[in-house]
Amino acid sequence: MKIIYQTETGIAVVTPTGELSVEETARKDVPAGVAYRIIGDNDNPSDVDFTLPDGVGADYGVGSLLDVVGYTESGEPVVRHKETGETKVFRP
Amino acid sequence: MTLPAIPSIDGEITPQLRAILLAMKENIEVRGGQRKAADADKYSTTADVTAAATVAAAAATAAATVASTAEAIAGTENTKQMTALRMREGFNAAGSAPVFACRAWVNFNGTGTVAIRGSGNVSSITDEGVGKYLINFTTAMSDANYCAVGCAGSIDSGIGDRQLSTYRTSAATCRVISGQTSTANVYDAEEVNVAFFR
Repeated sequence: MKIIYQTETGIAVVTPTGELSVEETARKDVPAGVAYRIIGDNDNPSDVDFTLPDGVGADYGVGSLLDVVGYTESGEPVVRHKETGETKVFRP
Repeated sequence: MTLPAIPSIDGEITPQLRAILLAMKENIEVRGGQRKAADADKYSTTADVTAAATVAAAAATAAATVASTAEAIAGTENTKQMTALRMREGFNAAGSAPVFACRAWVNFNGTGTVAIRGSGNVSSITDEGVGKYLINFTTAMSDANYCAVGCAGSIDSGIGDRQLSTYRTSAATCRVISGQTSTANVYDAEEVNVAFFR
């Protein structure tokens, strides 16, 4: 499975390693607020329609002020604020 | 009275055992553990002696379950304890210089659709265009001042012909750019290996 999202110059393709689920990876590694689609390994990213996305990069996504520094036993991300250093369980 | 057997380690007793035995020698009357009537308060009871010997035996048993240097290096023993020294020895780290472990690593094929061969503490690779990859850590580093080391190569050229530059974008991600050595152009690489230390 791949995660794709649109950028100013085209489409970015995210390849998960499997350490996290595809959905967890998408929320964390897609830029905050950007819509993404999850596609099969053999699907062509340029053929994908983004009008009905599978989700949106979370507030702790790439480029946000929050870094994921771990997960709770129940799977909630633990985030650290880049500027204040405050660490807490992320709850939207 | 019969004292419980006190095991030794490789024929030598530990300092803790020696201290306990000396204390016992000073405090008990060896002949059957009988208290001297005249100085009863100076001597331990049979129960005291038994308890002290039991503690000594337990301490010796615990010491005996520490892994040896060979066991620490082999890494196959799963029933013995590791001390701080054995931890260092397990890394084959001679001398007193500190050990800094790799905090994340990844090996992937960057041509076409990225194919990850192996990784640790990396959640994904974002393909950002020809020769440009964003490595996303599963768990972020403590800050962005980590050290990224890596190399890139091409199987087609047979001689490598790739160079790799790293740019620490943040504590959570690192961008790497692969270029062709012979042309100095940005180029995909079949072999991209990066490790991170902090």
